[in-house]
Amino acid sequence: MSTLTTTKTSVHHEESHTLFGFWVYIMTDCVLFATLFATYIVLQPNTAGGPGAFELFDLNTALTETIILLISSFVCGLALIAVHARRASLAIGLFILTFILGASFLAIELTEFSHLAAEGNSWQRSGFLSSFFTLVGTHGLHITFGLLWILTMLVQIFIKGFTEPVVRRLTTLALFWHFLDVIWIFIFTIVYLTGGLSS
Amino acid sequence: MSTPAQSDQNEYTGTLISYVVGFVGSIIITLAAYFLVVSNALNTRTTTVIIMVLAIIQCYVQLIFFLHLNKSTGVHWRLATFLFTILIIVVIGGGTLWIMNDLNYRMHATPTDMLKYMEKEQGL
Repeated sequence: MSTLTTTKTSVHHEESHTLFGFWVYIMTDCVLFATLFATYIVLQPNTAGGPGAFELFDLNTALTETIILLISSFVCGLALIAVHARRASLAIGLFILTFILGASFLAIELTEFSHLAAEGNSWQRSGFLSSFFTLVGTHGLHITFGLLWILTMLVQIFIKGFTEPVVRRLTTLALFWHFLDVIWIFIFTIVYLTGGLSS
Repeated sequence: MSTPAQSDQNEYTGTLISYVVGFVGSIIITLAAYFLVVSNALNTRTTTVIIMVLAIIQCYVQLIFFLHLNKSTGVHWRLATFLFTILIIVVIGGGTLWIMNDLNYRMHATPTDMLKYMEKEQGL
């Protein structure tokens, strides 16, 4: 009995250490994004005679992206509850929905990028556009890795079931996905909303 | 080992209620900020301040209801690292904006003026 309790406690310790370690990684990622935001705000007026935020960005597209990512983050939270309740099919369904919403977000973003590039407003156009593509592109890259992670976890659920390590990885995945939504709030506000203002 | 049904409910997972509250709150704040900008009701400066405040409120809502920062147990390490991160962000982000604004002010130049100056110096 006592051996069992010891094993459980050590497993729990390992889990809380892993989750806290991942939390610290997320905090360092916040600092990375903070530097990109600062760069964007500084370079925003430097359009080199080219188009600025007001001419280039469509607020409705940005709002659609925001809502999709928000729903995705919400569904991911629900999926985690389903995991802890051991409702396997519900959890898998919700993670697939999270993936579909995340992929739609990424598709809209890449369409926007390709339209900008096709009109000659790529990252090479001005300091403003360089910083825009760096900031929003870095977020998009995180989303891409998050999507790959969801796929990997779906495979792990199918093969291993809800073992302790799988549940731990799903918890870190949910943390990561919520974090990306928090970053997007500021991209939506600083890039798109304030961009829509400066007429 | 095979039946840890409730035991792994940890400080990183919330209840259904918390997710619903966080979701509805975030939607309302997002739409409020969007319509404030689209309606052009207030001047640029006031609107900018209000939407930045709304963004920070929404960030707080998601930290509490999605990331469950308030459920931090023990020595509150998660909160401590979070607050330290905020400090670093204020130093790096705020410091950058301060320095660059000050530079523009001292050069008596907007970026457009600076561009014209650079073009002139290049003999374009």
